[in-house]
Amino acid sequence: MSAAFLGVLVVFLVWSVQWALESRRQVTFDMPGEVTTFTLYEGNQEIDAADARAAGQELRRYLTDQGISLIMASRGDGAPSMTVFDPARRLSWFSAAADATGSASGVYLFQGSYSARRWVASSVTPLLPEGATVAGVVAPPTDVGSLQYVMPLAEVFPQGVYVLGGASSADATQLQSLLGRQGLEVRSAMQMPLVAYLLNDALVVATALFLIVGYVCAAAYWSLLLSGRTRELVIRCCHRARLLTLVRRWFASGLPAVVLGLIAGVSVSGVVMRVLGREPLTVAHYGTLAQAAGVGLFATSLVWLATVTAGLYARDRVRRAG
Amino acid sequence: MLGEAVGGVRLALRRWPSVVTLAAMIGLACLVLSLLLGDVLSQLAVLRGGAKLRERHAVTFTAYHKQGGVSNVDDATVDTLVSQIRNGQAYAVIVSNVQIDNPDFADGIPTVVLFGDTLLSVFPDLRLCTPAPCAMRGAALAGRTINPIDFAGEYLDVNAMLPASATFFDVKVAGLPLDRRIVLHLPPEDLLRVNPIEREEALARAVLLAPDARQVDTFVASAARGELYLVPHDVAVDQPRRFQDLMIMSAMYVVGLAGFLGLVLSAFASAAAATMRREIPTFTIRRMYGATPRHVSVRVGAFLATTVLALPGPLLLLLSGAPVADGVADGARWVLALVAIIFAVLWLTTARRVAAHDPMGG
Repeated sequence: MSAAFLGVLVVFLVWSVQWALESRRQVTFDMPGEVTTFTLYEGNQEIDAADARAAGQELRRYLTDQGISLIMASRGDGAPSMTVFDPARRLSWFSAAADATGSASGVYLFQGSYSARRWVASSVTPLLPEGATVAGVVAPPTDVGSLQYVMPLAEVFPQGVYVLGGASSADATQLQSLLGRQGLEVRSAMQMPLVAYLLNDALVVATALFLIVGYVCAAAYWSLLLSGRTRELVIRCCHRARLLTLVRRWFASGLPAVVLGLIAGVSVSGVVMRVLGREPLTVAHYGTLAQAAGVGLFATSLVWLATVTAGLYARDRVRRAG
Repeated sequence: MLGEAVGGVRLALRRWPSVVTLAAMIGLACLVLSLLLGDVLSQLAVLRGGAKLRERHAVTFTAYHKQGGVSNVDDATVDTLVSQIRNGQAYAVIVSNVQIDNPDFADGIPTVVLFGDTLLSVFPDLRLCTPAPCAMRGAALAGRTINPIDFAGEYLDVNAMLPASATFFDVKVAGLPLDRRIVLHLPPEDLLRVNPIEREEALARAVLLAPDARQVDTFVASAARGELYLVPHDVAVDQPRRFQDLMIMSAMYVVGLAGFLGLVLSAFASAAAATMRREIPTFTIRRMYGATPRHVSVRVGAFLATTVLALPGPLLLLLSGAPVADGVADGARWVLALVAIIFAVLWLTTARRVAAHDPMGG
């Protein structure tokens, strides 16, 4: 029974890690390698238009020279668009829309978006800027949310989320100062290493703590069950049974219950999701459940083995001392 | 009897390391459950709300606003929405920006505005007041003096009460608890009288029910002309994954918490059973010297209460009476009831187990 509860908690943890990874992908738009993100807003300072244009050109040159890729996406301000500059050709999804410099060669609608569907069905594109013409449809990165299209790079950079690929912290500082000359202020900047991102995710941390405390409870429960077999241990030891053999036997005798319980817990989670989600589970969902079962089987068997070993050694020491 | 109770407590305290550890774990489980139960209840409202919107083939919108200002959507667009609401084909709400520049509005109580009667059929559980215009207050605001509200040309007394733990399914924030909010139910034409920020939010939170593609295109295009870009999502077709993820998340909260509590309790139940096994000779001697089954039962009860109730009980009582966030106090009350039931079951089964080992026949 306790293995079944552990199965449920393992599914919860694996699921929360998947959600965290998904939300990271939403933020990084599948930018490979080291990723830095900024959120930029228009500041209040007066901007000299000529200097802003010059800063824009300098910015382009800097990105090209350093081989830095840049994605700029609206956070809910302005049109639902994305601007990409990829001189280093890091973004495979963007290659179909890119020109020789690494900017988009026109307005490309994201496949599957409302705008792309309406454009294909009736050439209606109510969300495009006035006068813009559609150059084609491009497959978007994993998750672009509600963004509708990718635009060519303009002289003045827009406010929104900036995702940098292949930039060092010195590059990031230089870029921030160039963007500052365009009137953009950095509100938040973040390096996005995977492990740090996961450790900052409240749900991942909470579910991991639940699971750890759950394993402590299960180990306590199991050692109390084992204490009921002390008499058997004494008899076996009197008949010169080796402790290692006993560990192996007790571990193997409890393993089927652990495996069955864990699979039952994972299955119950799947059934509850199916019933409450009111949708058939997808292949990806089954994949997550299988991953949880694998991780859970490994970790739970390990904790069961540790509990049996610790329990037997402790009782053996007491017996010898007695 | 008092002596038996003290004896039970002493029995527990003799094993203080395991008792303290288990009491701390049960306390932690109860605390986390209380904090999350309110959240889970809202998530369950999300499950119901999402399903209802899918049944009605709702189209919702993600808004992209004008940079550095408020959008300027014309009256004709709002008029179209008003007639759709009147025909039962749409509804609109304002949640975040009601009189945002006037902190004294509605005596400082957060206010939600719902336009039209369509919501009565989509979310009947809300038991909205009728006919519009009318105003209601959340269950936690009972007894509070609230001055009449002047909004969008309506002057409304806030006397009607929402059901306790009422939650509105909002497309953006999912479950929106209404216990500490005022709800204004207004006729759709009042949409033309709200200020530009409120108008922008009402359009962004508009939900069209089973519209055809042309209606959606017209609405999106006319809003975009006023620099409010609305990206439509067909809840039933375009966004099942998002809703399914939300629902799966809610489901995982429920089963995950149940799994955690189950583990803590099974650890405690087996620890209690082991202690009782060890104490059987003591109980037998006590019975020989005149203790009745009731005395033994009180001793067992006091032992269990020291672990199950001593820490979580006061903690939950404190939480349930404290002025904490919506749902947490309710959650604490539910968890307190649950702990009391679990304690009663444990007491009954453990006392029966002890009696079964009683050589004097229990």
